[in-house]
Amino acid sequence: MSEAVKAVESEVEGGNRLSAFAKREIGRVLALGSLVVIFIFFTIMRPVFASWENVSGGILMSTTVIGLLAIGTTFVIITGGIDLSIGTATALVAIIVGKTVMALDLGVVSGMIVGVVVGGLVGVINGLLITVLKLPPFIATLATMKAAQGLALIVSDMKPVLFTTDVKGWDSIAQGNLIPKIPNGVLILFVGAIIAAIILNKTVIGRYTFAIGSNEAATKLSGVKVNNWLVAIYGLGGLYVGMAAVVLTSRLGSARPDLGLGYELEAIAAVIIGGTSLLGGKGTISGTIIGALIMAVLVNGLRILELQQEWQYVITGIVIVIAVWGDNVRRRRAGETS
Amino acid sequence: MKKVLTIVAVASAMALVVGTGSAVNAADKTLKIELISKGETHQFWQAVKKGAEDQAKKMNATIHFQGPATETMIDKQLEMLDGAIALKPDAIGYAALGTTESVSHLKAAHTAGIPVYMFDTAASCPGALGTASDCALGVAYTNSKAAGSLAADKMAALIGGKGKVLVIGHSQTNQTGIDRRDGFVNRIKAKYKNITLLPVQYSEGGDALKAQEITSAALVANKDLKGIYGTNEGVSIGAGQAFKAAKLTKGKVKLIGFDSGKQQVANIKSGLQSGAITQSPMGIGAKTVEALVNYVREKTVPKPLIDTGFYYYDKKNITDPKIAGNLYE
Repeated sequence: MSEAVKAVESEVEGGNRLSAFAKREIGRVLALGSLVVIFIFFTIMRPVFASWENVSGGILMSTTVIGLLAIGTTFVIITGGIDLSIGTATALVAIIVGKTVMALDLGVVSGMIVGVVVGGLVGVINGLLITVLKLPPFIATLATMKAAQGLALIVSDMKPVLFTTDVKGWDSIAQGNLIPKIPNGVLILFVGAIIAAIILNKTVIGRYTFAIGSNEAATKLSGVKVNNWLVAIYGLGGLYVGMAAVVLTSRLGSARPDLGLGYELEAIAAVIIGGTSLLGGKGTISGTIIGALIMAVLVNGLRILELQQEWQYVITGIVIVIAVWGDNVRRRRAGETS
Repeated sequence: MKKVLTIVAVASAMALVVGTGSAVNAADKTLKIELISKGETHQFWQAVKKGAEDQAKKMNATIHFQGPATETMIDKQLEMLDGAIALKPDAIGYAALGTTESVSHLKAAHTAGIPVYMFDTAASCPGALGTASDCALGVAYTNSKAAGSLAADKMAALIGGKGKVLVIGHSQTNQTGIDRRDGFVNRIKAKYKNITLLPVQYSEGGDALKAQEITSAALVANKDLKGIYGTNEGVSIGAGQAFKAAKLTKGKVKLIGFDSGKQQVANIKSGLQSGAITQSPMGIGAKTVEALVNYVREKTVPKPLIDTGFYYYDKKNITDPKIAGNLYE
């Protein structure tokens, strides 16, 4: 706890900016290092693991949904908040997109816009619950998580909404190739990540995201309308939930009301493995992408090795512990020496 | 005196009316049945519910049907079961998620004097099912092991009796999932020596996205993969989508799934998927309600095991009325 306070103080002082920057970079380099080590390990075990077919269609494609969710939720976690609703909200948005697209006979682009807008609205609702009703983010988003799960079932009437045969090109959102050899879903993930990185590092909303996470009270005292910005930040996270939902429906050719529960934990894990602090004030989009890739590479690699599923779970758990523990040890050392 | 007589007469008349009235009610009373299912989301459970509702209407009963959001929420489902017992309905129908965890809860229903008939999946009740059991009267179910071994025979026929086959399960813990897997695996091991089974993979809860990822990885790891057997609707759809993404020519790798649903039926019609096993979900719902109503009203003891049947269907027999009636959108 004292380290956390120290960290916050040093951020606020800004005197140690250079060393704080270096620390952040080391975190990412280490995460990238683990990703490379895991990748090389699986390649040695089974060379076919490194084939482009597996890297693009297996690993990168598997990262699309969780990765987009993780990008959006990185903003939320940097503010010191949490969003548990992103998993079931994905299902709700998917169902609403499916229903709207089918009912209004919308095309691919309008369908994507519907998804992003509805996702953003769910995020805004979370933001309002937190700022207007003053609910802790954990409880507010847990409530939204439950409500979204129920609404997904109600709106869908418990039936999946089928796309592919009826909507031209819906499956190409994730599976087409605007750039040869790279599935569009992967393109969306990386473009989404670049946009998020620019927003986080180069815009006012990004600056306030860090400021609120470092010291909300101080930010408020300096005249920033923290509540408005929080609503915007949760809304921004929601836009990525919307995009994740669209990619999900495209990958499956249908929207299923029973999907999504549990995705929030995978996304949050990716964010934390990527070096973002659950205490807020620290984090990067590239770290999050690396975190999501570590998870995807691990899960895919263990499947390629055809290990018993029980052991796949155990090993995944162990690697998460090692990844985050290693980062903690490094931080503690860095904290002691500085 | 006259007054007294009148009062006595009126009172006895009233007693008669009330008496016979309640007697009539006992036989004709609309029975309240609580059905606790393993889920509500998959259309399979909707078909079970439909079958139960139709049967209840015929027999002057009402049903209240509920189940947890996903088939991994054992605790949630047991809460629903406890809640149903507290309502003191005329009877309870129960599809076991936690086959061992639910036994003590079913005992509580027995203690409360509420008859229980299980459907789809039986709990691991100690001793034989029936009136002597303090757990349940019986179970209306699909013989999932037999259904799994039918899928194995069909798979063997499709791939000419040799090659690599992957089983993707939807649960390692629920009995239906275990039986569908074991029925298939045991049949292959016993009868088809030239078929190699890869280690079974699981898409917990039948998550279609996870099934897609498992299939993609399996296709990369095994260029000579001949067939995939998916143990529920979500898994079958996920596997089919992976075939599409890998741009496999139709039928290069055979896929046998379970249950139906619009997308799976479309995949079978288009040839992306070879076929699937369908149960008779409406039959499961109807037989459960029938058994319970007859027991409560007529004291007819139901059979401890009611097999509700299953079929293999493919592009050719999909419109057969016997099949089509059990397929759901």
